[in-house]
Amino acid sequence: MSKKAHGEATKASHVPFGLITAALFSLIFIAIPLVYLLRRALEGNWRSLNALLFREKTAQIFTTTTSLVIIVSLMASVLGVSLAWSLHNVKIPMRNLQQALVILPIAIPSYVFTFSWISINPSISGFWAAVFILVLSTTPYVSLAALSGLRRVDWSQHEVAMTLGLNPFRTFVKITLPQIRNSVAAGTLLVALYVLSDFGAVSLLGVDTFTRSISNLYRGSFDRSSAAVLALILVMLSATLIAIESRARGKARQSRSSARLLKQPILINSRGTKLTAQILIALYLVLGLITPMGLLLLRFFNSAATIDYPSLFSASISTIVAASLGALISISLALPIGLLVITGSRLGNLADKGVLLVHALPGIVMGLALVAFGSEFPWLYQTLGLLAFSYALLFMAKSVGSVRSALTRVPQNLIDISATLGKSRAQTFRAVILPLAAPGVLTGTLLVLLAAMKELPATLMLRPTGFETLATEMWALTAISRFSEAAPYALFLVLIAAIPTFLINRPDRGSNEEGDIA
Amino acid sequence: MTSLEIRDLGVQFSGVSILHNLSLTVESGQFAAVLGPSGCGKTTLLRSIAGLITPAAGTIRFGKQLVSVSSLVLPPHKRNIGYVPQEGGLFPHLSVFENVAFSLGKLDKTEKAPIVEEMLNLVGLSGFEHRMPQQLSGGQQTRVALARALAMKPAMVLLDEPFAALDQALQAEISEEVAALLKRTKTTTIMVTHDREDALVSADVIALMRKGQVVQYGSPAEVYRQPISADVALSTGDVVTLPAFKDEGEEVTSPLHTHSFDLQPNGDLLIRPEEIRISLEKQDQGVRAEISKINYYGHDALLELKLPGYPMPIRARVAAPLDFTVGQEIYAHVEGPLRWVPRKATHQ
Repeated sequence: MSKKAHGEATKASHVPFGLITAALFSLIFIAIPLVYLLRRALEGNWRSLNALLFREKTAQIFTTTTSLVIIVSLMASVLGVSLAWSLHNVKIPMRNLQQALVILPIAIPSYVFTFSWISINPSISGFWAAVFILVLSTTPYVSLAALSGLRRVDWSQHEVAMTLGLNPFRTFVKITLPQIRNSVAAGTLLVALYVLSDFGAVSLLGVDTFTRSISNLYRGSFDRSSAAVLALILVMLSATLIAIESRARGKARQSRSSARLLKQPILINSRGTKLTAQILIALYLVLGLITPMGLLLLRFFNSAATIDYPSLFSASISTIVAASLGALISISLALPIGLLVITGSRLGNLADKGVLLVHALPGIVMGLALVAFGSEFPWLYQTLGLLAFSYALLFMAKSVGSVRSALTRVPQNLIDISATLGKSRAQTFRAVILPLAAPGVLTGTLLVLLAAMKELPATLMLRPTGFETLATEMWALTAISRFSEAAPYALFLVLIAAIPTFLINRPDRGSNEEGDIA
Repeated sequence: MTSLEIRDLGVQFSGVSILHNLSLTVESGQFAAVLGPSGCGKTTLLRSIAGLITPAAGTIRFGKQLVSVSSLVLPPHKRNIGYVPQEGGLFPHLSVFENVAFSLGKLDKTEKAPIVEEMLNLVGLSGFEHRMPQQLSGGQQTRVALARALAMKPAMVLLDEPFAALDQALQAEISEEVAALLKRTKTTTIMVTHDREDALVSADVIALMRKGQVVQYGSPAEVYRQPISADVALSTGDVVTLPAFKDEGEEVTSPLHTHSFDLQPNGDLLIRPEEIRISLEKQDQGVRAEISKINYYGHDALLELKLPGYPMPIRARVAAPLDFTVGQEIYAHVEGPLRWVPRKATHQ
């Protein structure tokens, strides 16, 4: 009953006017890409749109995209769960280090992966190459989710099941798997979204998915509304995935137990299991981390003398500046929305849905929409501001998510106590809520920073003329097969992206929520 | 310190009535315990007093000041109330010093220090200023929470099951300490609890709550000795209820009484188990009974007695040392006042 009382008490309090105004601002910004995408799509010649929608090629693109999404998601989920289980339950040497390493490929963008593999063998291309590379680069999303799920399973249930006569495998299937199922589903859906919006890998490997086709249509013709129509189909696909994902995530949240200490597993020490687990982990690390990173390092040192250091330096600065600006805009738009959502107001829920909608826009689509927007406001077109704004919108779901979960984790009773101790609402916000939520808000900012550094398609479309980031430099050089020259940019990108990755997963801050890093 | 007066308070959540027509008065400096089962509305009452929820009806006064009337409520930060929730609710990001000094607002650190020191001294935690809440035991956290509440010189202190999270041995010790401290400082205190011992030991007055209302109010001895119903009596201790009836000779008696008394229509006799005396030999008023079960508690024991001609076993408390056996025949009689409560349907 007292819980109910909390909810009522918060709801009863009215929402400050300033907060509503700020959230409305955020909402208007969110609406911009959606409005311009729709306008672009609708301004085209209807007959040619019809032809575009129903031609065989569109069906092919659809089939290729969905097959890629389904195959990669399935393979990554099986591999990710196996890795997580091996890391969590088996007595392997340096377990913590290996856990950290298995997650690390998350910092490597798919196009850098692709680059390092095709620089070994330039003839690698096609659907199955894309499957191979995307599985390697997305598996950590599932491992991370599965690991955090596994940590929440009380081992004493496992022990009880064994005493009731279940063998270890059946215990895993009957006891453990149902409890981590929602986390794994959430991780797998992140993979699906990643594959759906991936542009770099499929473009380099010549696989005709929606993103690559949109880019080709955009660059190859003046009929940009065709690109917008394909983009709308893509948005619908990804909106469907997001709807499923947010539902799965909700369920995963519900199954979370309280902060009590759970009994952790007694690690399996049998030689056969240890060997199998270690081989699996090693194989993944060799393919997913050591090969690409080793290759980048090798190329870097081989060509150390000929590297264009000034341009490498300026591209690094550009990457950091644009991404930081994007992260700052994103968190300032996200804070009022997050605050509004936890007050339970109707505007807050609307804003939350809006954030989910922009979250469904892949980078290439966001680029397309903001190019359309910029063409009406020439003073904005190809400015650093518009690029940063595109990052802010693209990754706002991450910042809103972190802000919201940080705010909801501030216990209501501390807010109540602060009030009884004579603090007004504004004072309570400063003295209690903000300091307690600060780590989450910071995480939200870092997540956007990381994602913005790795972003490629929107950056290609929206960057100011002559403004080159590590990603665009690397992309341009790879496209003309100058792999040695591209390598330093790729290496620097991964190294710089590793900083926020490390800060987000700082070991002293405990485990993250599943999917946070995405 | 100030008195508290609540009149006809009503609180509803989504159309469900949690408190209705609740009235309660606590004198200045009194320690009042609100005792009741979980779900009876105790915490809601406390939160209404603190101003954390808006009542649908009724008034709340602190001394002469009206703080809550229908939907007009003084916000919590203007009520000057020391609120100690379950498990203390210390701010995890602030040290013990900063927690205790939280309400002191704009004072300099040099001005805050003596107050914090005094408060920590009061709760026996001098020297803990720089600890973080996570470094304190449960009992220490509760005491810091109390120091934090007292530092603002509150009009009254509200305790919400403050000792429920502590282990039993510590619970008794801390609750005694806290009660002694609050009485020494003449702090008006409202403590919500479901633990009858807590309430009986600490409080000057006890308000018994049932289903959103205060059903009985009085000193611990009053509410223990003169319960208004068998159900309410249970919240302060074990009870035996017995039917009274007229026998063939028109004498009014009960299964445990041998002498006659005036019948109260539709009443049951309510007896505390310790009021039943056991003797090994027949005396004037003794009723023959057989011991059917012994619940041994160490310092005393509850005997279940089977009375001839009465279907339900009744329980008698006997002090240690104990030399009874199951199956033994003894004589029982009541030593205590005739106490009537409304008859329960089951005794018809």
